[in-house]
Amino acid sequence: MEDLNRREFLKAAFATGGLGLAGLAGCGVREDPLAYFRKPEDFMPEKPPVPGEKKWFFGETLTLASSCYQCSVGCGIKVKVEEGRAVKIEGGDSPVNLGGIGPKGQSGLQVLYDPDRIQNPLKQQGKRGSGRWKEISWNEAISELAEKLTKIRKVNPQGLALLCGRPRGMMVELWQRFCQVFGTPNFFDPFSTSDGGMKTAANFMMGTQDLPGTNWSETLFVLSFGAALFETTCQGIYFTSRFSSNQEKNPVKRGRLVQVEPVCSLTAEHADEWIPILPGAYDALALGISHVLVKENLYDRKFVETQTYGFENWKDSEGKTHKGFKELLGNYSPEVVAKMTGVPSSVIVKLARDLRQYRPSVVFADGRSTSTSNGFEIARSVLALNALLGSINSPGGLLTQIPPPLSRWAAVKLDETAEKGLKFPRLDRGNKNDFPLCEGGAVEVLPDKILKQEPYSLKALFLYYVNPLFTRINPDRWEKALSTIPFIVSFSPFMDESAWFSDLILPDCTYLERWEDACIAPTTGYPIFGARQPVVEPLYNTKNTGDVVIELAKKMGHPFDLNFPWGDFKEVFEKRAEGIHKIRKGSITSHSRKKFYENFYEKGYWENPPYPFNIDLFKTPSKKFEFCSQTIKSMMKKEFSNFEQICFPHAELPHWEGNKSDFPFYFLPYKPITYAEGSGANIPRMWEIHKLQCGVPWNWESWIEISPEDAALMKLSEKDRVKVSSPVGSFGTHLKISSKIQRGMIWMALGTGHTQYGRFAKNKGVNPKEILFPYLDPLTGLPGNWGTRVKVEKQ
Amino acid sequence: MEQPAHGNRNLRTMTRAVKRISALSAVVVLLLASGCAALTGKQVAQPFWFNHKIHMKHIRHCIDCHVFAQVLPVAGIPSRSICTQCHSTPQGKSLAEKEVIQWFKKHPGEQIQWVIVDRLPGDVYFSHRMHVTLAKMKCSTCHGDVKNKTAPFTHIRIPFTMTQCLACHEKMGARLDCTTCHQ
Amino acid sequence: MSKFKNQIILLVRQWFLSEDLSLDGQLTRRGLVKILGLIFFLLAPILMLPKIAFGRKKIKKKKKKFTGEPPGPTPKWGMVIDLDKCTGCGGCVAACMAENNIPISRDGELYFGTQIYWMELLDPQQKVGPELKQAGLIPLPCMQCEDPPCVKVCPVGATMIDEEGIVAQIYDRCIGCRFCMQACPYSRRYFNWAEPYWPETYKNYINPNVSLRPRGVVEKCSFCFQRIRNVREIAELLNQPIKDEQVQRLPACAEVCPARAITFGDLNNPESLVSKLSQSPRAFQLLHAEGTKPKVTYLTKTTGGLSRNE
Repeated sequence: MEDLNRREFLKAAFATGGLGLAGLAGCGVREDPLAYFRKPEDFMPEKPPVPGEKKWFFGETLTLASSCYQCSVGCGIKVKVEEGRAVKIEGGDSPVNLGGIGPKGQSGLQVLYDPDRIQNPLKQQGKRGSGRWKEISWNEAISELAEKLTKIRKVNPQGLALLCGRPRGMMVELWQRFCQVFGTPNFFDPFSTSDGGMKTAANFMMGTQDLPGTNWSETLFVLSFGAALFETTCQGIYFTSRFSSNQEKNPVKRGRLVQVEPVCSLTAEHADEWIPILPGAYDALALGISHVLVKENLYDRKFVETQTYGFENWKDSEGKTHKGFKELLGNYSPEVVAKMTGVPSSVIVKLARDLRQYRPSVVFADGRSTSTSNGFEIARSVLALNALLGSINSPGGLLTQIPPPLSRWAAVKLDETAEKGLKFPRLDRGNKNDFPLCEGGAVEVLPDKILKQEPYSLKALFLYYVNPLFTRINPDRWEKALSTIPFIVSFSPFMDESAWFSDLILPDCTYLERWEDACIAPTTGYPIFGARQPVVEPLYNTKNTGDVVIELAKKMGHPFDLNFPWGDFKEVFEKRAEGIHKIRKGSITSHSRKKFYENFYEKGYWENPPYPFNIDLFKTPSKKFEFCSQTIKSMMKKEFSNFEQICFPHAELPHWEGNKSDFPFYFLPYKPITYAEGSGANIPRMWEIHKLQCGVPWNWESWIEISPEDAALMKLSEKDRVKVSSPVGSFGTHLKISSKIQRGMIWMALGTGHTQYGRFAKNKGVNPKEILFPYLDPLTGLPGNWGTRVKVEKQ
Repeated sequence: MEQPAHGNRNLRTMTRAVKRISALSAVVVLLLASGCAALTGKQVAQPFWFNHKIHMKHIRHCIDCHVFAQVLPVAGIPSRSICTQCHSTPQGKSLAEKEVIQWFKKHPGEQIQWVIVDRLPGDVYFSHRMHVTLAKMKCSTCHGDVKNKTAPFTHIRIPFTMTQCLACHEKMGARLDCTTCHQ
Repeated sequence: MSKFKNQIILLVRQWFLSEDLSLDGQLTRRGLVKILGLIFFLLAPILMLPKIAFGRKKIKKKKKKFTGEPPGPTPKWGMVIDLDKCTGCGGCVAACMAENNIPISRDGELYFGTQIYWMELLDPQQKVGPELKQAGLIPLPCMQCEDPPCVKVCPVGATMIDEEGIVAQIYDRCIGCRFCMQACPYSRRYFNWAEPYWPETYKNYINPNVSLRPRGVVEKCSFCFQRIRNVREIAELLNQPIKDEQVQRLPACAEVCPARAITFGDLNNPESLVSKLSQSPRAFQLLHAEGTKPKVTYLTKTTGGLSRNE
């Protein structure tokens, strides 16, 4: 019996062993018991089919040159495409980025392959915002749109408005042309949104409609007034690449970067020195430095005497003496400025002397510097300071960007209806005394005007790459205003808040699927032009909005068909690039047209260096740099009491909404490099990087940063959640204590708090814009993100 | 008296054992079969009847069509342009060729969607150029007698294991680092 | 004689229990199994002998038969990160994620702490030591130590340092014990706590040259060895040594860095840029005292050339 038992035992052991083995085979798996044998797709999943895949054969790889459109710089990119799928974006060797590319550019494929893209034209079925969409065909959508527009045009052509969110390029001009032919003055370009202060100032003082470029690789001393040089400024990657090539030079000539900013931002952290200042006091500081330069006779006499206007006192034809900029500077002695800015007077004097000693030196300001209500004054004071240093249109200084020699379109032929419509004032300028110096459009005033329906009501609104229900100050106002407009059309490739609130969505392709020009931000100074070409076939049933505009114009018949004679947007692009081909200069000089485009698309850009420093580039009335702007003089009404002063750069106190006792903190929302104003929030990689950069725990979605002293005073710790309230509203969020913040300030990243915009952005965090007060500069109509005070309480 | 009982008992245990063993072997066979199935994959259908044997009569070497084998890690499947170098006009009388030429006319700009039967696991890197150009291995060493194959491929034919790879690498003195073949 | 024989039978009977021999003295099945087992047990070492004696020599003998190496000495790959140029933009992090198929991190408390960064930006608040005082964000790849503590502790040999100095992880071998994560003084190793999340459309941009990692294995920066391998193979095919210019910006992070702060190259080659930079007076290594001999060198941030003059 004993043996038998043993035998039984052995057999049983075998059996259980076998079963165990089988069990082992089954344990690594959920549904498929065979998965213990790892199949290839466990390591490399089958890629989903894409359109155009059949045109590729196994093993085929291409590298295509194009231009990035994740921010406004326009870096060259090389996209690796394998069997019809874009697999990697790498930096192109364009002179803007010199082979590098920023984090947003790298993550372009997460935009292209976003799982929540709009795949078909959509029509709102129910109430706005109900999300009951019906997919319709392109033909249907465009016909319907054309029909609606024709109806509107017959009665009141001025009733169409277009908000355009992309800063430059042919698409903007195409839309502008469309509005003109339609007969509406209501074309709002993004002029005022980010760099409005700098652009307006450059227009009045230098006569250029654009930001200045820079020649940083030659610069020895850079003084930045809160410019987000390595972050979200219009030329971010260009600055980064030039900053490093400056660092590469021999140690004696290596440049120096000083950042003056209320908060030690990412840029200040990587600069050589950070000088804390009160928010919005840059204009006073710039004038204070100018004062020292003039007093100690350190300014560039030659430049000021030959190339500027309005420095010394002068007599006009009537014999009346006018004060010059030199005399006005007398008000800004370092001691006075030190009180206004919080920067010690010794530092101001040292900065002035350094700027002179280490020439070429340059002073920067950008959208972040000018985000207070006195942004226009800041921009003008900075330009004036550059002029005193002689760093305008000189090696190592600011440059007037020379546009590429594109050929022009034929002049617009208008019919009677259009002419009738164009006689109406633009909606934001109903009252002519509002914003006398407004250039692009005081967009923030629109909600009130739309609601009041004065001077007329809007019948239709087009949204092109703009999301007012998220990015505009206090979006609730916009929602109220937009709900009164009977017809809203969005061209967004993603379901953002405004697209969700529209009646018709005509989804655009992403920038990797369409033909477009890449009008590069002012960087190198010399003309430069980039191409954007489709690297993959459009993934979904989407259409390049350029093509849609042309198709729409064809459907609407006379007089649109006369003004839009092209077949598609690629033709528009190539027709205009013809101008570059014709001059036969620069990096591509092929004689045959075909060869030219082949080379152009292969390289992805065209450039024409070097910068012509000797040419007279100021396009002001006096053909000089104008301290006293004559354009302003002619535009302004005499009834302004401080009329003389307005023509000159001067210091103004920024407006802060809320009184200091109730709301003790300056609320400073900023655009982070990752998701700017929210347009990058649907890229999961951006969230990952932003949290790394800020060093916050992963489960935080939005947070405010506060100084350790303030936190100690209020007995707050990082574990607490806080309630931030302003005179406008409040929200609850996390709190990060950071020694990089000055006392009395709150630093917060924009871009969080979407209620739509795909699975990666939706319902994450809060939107700081909701508690901002929309205060506009009475002269220029420029809004400011910095202009609200808040209080912080433990929640 | 004892013996029959003993025999009976033996018989009973034997049958019980046989039952168990057969059950066990069934499990083993099932596992093996499924393993094989996992390795060999399903049978696939190719879009056209490709005959390697006929082609090899007119072409000198595999790399005349599989052009990437010498220069890239992936040997690649010949593109349409390589096919149409000869097959823009009929070269013979076969039905398959007629079909292909008709397809080419019908689908301009499209590539033939050959089904890839031999697919490397995602964690394995295999460089054709190293084996073909540098080590001067013959294609047939791994791919077998493709020269005489008259039918298109429907199954995985290179059931390589790491042991086989390593054996040859050891024998030839090639790299043995994990990173050479794995990624 | 017969007595002797009987004794043997007895002995055998005693040794093999009664059931092993049937009543008529024939071997039963059981006995046969026993004897065969005994024979095999005795023979096995003898069969193994030649393998033990000659097996290893054979491999050594044949090693020189095939010289599939690029000319020149074996490189030792290293990296220099210039904190003076770095602007903390995070381009390297994004590039690394794109190149190495790092899945996107999922939100929610459940997935807290599961995110993976092969290249990380060091939290500025964790800065310690005089070299880091000036710096802002610090890009932090795997240090690729010459004496890696992670390799020593791995119980299954799932991480190894190859002859070119790259510390690589072998995902198939990893059992997920996470000893290496404990051992690494730089916390440069990440564990796949969750099944990697790939939305269907994101699968399109998966890099076929880097494998995806399943749940339950540790992963880390590999110095983009798939790119090094590509360069090496081309060099071998052309029979030319690898040039320094070819590899200076080879890894994904170095390639995209808009500030060109990351330099890559061969530390064994004294002429390479990376060797020259690592000799700079500004050079330092993270946690130098740990004795891990990292091959990633940093250059400290200086406060600008002008103050140097003063």
